[in-house]
Amino acid sequence: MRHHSIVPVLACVLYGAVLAQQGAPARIEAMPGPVHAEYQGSNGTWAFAGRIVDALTLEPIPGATLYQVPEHERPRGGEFWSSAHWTADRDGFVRVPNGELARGAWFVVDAPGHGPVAEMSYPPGEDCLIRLVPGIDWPIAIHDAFDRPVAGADVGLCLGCGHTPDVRVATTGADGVAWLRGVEPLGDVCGGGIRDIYPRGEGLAPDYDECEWRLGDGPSVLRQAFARSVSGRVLAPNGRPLPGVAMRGPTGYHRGPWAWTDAEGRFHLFGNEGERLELFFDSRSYQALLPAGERAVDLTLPAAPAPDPPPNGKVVVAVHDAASAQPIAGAHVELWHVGIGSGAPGETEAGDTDEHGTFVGAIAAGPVGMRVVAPDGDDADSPPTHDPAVRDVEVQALGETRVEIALVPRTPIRVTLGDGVRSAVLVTHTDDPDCPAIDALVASGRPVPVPAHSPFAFRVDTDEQRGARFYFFEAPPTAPVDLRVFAPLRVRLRVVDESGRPIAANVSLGGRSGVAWGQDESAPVATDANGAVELRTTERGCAFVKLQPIAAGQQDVGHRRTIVHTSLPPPGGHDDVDLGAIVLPPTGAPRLRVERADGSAAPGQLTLLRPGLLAGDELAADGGWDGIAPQAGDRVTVTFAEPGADGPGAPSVLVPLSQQLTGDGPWVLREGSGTLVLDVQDDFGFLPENGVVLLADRCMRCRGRVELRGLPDADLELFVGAEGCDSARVRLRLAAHERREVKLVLRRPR
Amino acid sequence: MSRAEAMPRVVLATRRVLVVLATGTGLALAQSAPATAREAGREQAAATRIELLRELPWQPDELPRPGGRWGERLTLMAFSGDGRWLAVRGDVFVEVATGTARAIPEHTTLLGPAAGDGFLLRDHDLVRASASGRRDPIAYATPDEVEADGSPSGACVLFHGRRYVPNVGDGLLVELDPPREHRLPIVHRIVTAIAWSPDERRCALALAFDERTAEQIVVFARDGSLVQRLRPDSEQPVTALAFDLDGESIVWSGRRLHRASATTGRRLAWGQPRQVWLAPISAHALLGHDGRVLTLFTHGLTALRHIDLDVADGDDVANAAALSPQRDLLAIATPQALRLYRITP
Repeated sequence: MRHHSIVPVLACVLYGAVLAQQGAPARIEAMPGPVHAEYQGSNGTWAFAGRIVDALTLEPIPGATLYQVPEHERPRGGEFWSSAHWTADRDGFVRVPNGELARGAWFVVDAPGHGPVAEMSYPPGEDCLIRLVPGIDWPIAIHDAFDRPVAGADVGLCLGCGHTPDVRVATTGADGVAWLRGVEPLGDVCGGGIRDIYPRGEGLAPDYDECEWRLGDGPSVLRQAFARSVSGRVLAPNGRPLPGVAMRGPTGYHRGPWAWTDAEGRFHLFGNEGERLELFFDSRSYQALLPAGERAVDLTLPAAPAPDPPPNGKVVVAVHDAASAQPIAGAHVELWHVGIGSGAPGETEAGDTDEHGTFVGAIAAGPVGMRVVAPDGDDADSPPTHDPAVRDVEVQALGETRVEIALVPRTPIRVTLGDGVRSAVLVTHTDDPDCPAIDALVASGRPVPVPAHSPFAFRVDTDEQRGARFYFFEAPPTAPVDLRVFAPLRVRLRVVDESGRPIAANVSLGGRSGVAWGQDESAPVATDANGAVELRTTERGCAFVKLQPIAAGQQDVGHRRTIVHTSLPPPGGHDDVDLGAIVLPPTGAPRLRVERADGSAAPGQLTLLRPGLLAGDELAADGGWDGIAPQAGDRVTVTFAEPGADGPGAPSVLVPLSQQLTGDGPWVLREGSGTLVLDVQDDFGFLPENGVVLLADRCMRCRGRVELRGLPDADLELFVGAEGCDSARVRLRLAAHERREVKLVLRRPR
Repeated sequence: MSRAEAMPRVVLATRRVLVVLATGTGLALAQSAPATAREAGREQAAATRIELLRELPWQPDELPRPGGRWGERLTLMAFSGDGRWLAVRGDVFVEVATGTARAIPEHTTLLGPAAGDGFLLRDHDLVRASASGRRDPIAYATPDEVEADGSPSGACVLFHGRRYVPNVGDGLLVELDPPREHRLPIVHRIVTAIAWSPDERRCALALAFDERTAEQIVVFARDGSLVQRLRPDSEQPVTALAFDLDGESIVWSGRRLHRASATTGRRLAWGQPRQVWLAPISAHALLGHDGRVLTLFTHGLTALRHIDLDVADGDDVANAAALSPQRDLLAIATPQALRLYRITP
């Protein structure tokens, strides 16, 4: 045993020591197991091997966990589950033996202090490198359909389809805001990018939303339609309370929401739109129709799955105006038999009232729910003239059951629409998500009928935003309502030099996605003689102010362009903001400059990562970075333009310059000048199959010999692996401009 | 899952009345000068004429209907580069002027248009072919067992996973003249829609995990580099995806219609409701259909006009559409017939 375990290590050390040409010899040690194995590739017994690192420090994250997650057909919101998990070792490596793979198509990676990421079909990351960003707290505001904050609502963050679990949960406070702690809200750094928010709460529809959030944004607002909860008991055919019955409303395929009966057969289901309920017990399934008004119900499951419906009874519904007592023609009447149904036609009935305000229908006798909706106004899709009504009645099998329905007329109010309003809709306290438009009524000068005795709101849409503004009313106003979009925000600032003297500049604004030059800026506005400028914008939250100095004649402008990341206040209450004086750096002194190894300017692409922000752009001709102002803690990665460079898998690779910024700057980053040539074979003399060299968060292919250029004069730690072999760790430090060759022999496990 | 995708209410009868306006006539134009660019654009869009040019009943032997409800492939019909011919799958060329159908002799798969009167087809290999019998083989060995779809000019082909068969076929973009391959970072996904910018500098793909679950929309440059990725707004896979004519923005349909910058992802406009196919026809207007109704939209994605496709109640709906490169002809495969419309902006 001793002989077998030591020989390969010695072999590695000897080769490495002998062939190191200058500087301290490379320290090489063997590592059992792979450092890289594509998911379900052909790497022997390993289903996957990868490395989990911090995306800012590039340090490994020991203890980070890779979870295999199956989809649950009936997921429970707010819970996390997995079928297997593996923990990263002290070097950040996580290895999945084939024999340990369990059921589940999704993979989630999480670590304390970091934002979780997920991917379907294979673990997240590229080239088996999983980069986790230090987590930040993401505010989520839950509002109702009237745009009022909802307290006490649960919020779940889900990184996959709704059949996968929530990875973070939180509850809204009195302000309607929940804080999802320790998340990576970008979705662009690693993983599949899904960031779905599932709200759960009393009276809220269960719709999820895909939210985008950037550093500087206010809370992401989800406006949930109204949907009542339903509670009650499920009883067995013999009347005993039945535990373990799963149920959901007609709310979609993936997430439900679902509820289960407890030991006493009781249940409480959030967000049940409409009247239908689906129940599942063992392999049995049932459809239940709920009462129209009462949302507590006892449901007795039949012994046989499809009971015959009771005989039909005749129902006569007479609809009239509650104020005038006049019959209402064209009202829509919906009837349904309450209880566990068979889906037979006689269990539902619908139609419109005739000119006498009467509807005659036939429906299975017994408890029946009823909804009556007034006819549309003069235009289809306009608000109805009366409030809808619901009623629960007992329909007799013999004779006829007569029901009188008095629809409460709505109160007509005058509404006008201001400039910039694309459309406006009336929102009432109903779980019907189709809000009627009022545009046609307003355009024709007619009044808008609104509920006389219940709250309502107008939702104002703009071309860019659905629900740009809401107007809420507890009761119909007596004065005309003027619906307007929010006034543009006025953003004032001054552009100055280091001495505070004004600089002539063109200033524009990019929204949250305008993080680079040329991306969606507003039209530039020139500063005045004092360097002052005022911009008008509808952007809110994360924004980027772009300042481009203006040359006077042939003179050098003297200063660099720059981008300032800022946070604009939310609409409503803030019409203007003063960003103060912004200093443009002198032409020769960028906040960050990148140089090639020989000190020349570096054409290339720079990427800057900060939790909540990811920015990328070309470097200026002098190697200066004119993008958003860097700050300590940022991870900066530069990929140098290298005409004619070898592609992936080529034997020579220019390693990108990557550095986490420290201190206050300005920063000068210089490309490394060291070159490392690795010669790799196994202890049988084979060149490696699917060989790789890992350096920080880079994975480079290696089929025998690979040259890594651009390495810094710093302590380096590389990992080398190949299919079917144990791996090697290589530690060394290259002197400036040093070229070193290291030969590695990877051991094949016996 | 969205409310729009939710199961129907207990009573299926709907109160909403579909407003179907007359086909082929523009709306009355305001006499006064439009107050805003938006209104001017709306008026220009409203002036669009959509006339039924011809209707050809499906005939299994001579003009087979392409695909099932959602189509077995993405490119089921395409107009030739000059707009004179319409290819229906790889089976038939239809002369637009006469409605004459000509069978394609060899069993082929339609990948898309090609220059002039040509189409890009695939039998064992790629070939540019025309109704006149011209066949120009392309010297490129195609991957097996994957789907393929061509760019508007036939200059590029996208190879991708088989529809509804995930885990087969990763993304590969191939420029054909001469062949240059660009691997796309798409692994184990199915492609539910493809769009090309008119200048073919960019393409956008709607990806899905499976037939029920959308993943994302990705925009690539022609060299295969990732430009932008966007999340659709519902879990239902996206089938309606198109570039605007300037190639700078894309439109797609999830729960609602969306427009976003192709380079930054910035949301530019929204509309509703869900469409299964979309195509801009001018700087001011788009066409879309939901399987039952063809709708003319403004650039701001508001619906201007509806044309009933006369699809009977049931699950069988219009399942394929194609717009000519000149954007003056529209073909729609309804359950009953192939409909050809002439579009006059």
